[in-house]
Amino acid sequence: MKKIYLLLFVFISFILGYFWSTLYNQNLKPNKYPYRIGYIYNGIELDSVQPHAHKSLEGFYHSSAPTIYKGSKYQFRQNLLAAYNADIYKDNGYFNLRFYISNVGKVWLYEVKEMDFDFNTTQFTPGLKEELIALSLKKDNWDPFSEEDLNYYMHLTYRIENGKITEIIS
Amino acid sequence: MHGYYQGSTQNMKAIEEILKLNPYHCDALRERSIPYLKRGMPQKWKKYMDQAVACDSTRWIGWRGYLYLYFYRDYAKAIADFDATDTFTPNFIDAPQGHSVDFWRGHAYLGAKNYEESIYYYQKHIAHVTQKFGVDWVEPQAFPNLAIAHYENKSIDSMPHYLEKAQHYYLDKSADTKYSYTLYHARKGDTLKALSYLDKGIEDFLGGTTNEEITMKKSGRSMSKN
Repeated sequence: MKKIYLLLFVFISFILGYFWSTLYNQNLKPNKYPYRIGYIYNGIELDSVQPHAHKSLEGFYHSSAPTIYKGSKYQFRQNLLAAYNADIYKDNGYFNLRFYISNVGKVWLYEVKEMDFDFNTTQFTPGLKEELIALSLKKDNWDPFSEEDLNYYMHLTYRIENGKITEIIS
Repeated sequence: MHGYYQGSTQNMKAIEEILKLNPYHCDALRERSIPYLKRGMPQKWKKYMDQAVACDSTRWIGWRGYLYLYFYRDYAKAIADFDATDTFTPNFIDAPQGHSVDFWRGHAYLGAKNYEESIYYYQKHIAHVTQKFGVDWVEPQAFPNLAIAHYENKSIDSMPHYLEKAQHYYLDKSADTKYSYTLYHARKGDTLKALSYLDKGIEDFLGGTTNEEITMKKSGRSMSKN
């Protein structure tokens, strides 16, 4: 008789353990990927988040929209290179910006990373980061993605060699 | 994973499930890196792509070279990875993203402004494919790029041979080829011909011809609007 109770106890424990494990994995375990890759978790706000936060985000699958540049990417490049004071910097590495553009073509949230050529985090000469952020994110550069009231995800990576921007990637 | 957008929550969780079952599933390791590459997040891309290369270098090092070339314009790292394929797979020419590592090295050395090496690798690619399959199977982009490398290398007289090939394979619709002809004739002092090619090049650029149109024309089929 005692053996039956023991077996029953083991069986019920197993069933409860299985259901607890399923419940935990599906509902309680911290989600490593709460949002799509590219989502900006700790961005710097250029505009209050509130008006934009609940609108849909596009650009996470393709992240490439040539028409997002006001004019063209060629014009963006020309304007950036003309305005950027390359002569005062000697830095080397990659300067990376990820940002959201609102339905009126305004950048309202961004994240910036300064990296060396091995993608290790670094810090460029004071002033370079601020200059490139201002030149890159200003409203003159960007169009809304569509007539729909949504936000568009965009990213830019500048390859910088001896202070000069040699490549504008993506 | 089937049906989930790349980089979506479901997609990434599915990849993690695979890796939980088999941490050495090299394809899954590489798959995990792709959304970071495409979303402009190089630090995470490199971390995960390096894991894939460490897991199966033979399969993924050529790919990493192609990604360094196309997504980060790091020609030195790209060349190092392409060269590594010669060691991992001797007597075999790998083809990451569908093109030979010789073709890619032609690109990389051109970007790195090492024109002699660029010419060497484009010619190696052309010679190998011609010998094995016939010249029609050479990736057409090799021809105009080789002409550009010769232009930059100041070996101008070698340009026309490759520009003629480019013109043939692009069915006489290639702005790059016509622009290269412009540069060639300008260097030769034939200004009128240079300007004529410039006009034609602009026409090609504005008119545009998709690869699909070229493929359809070559196969003799007509383009349907549907």
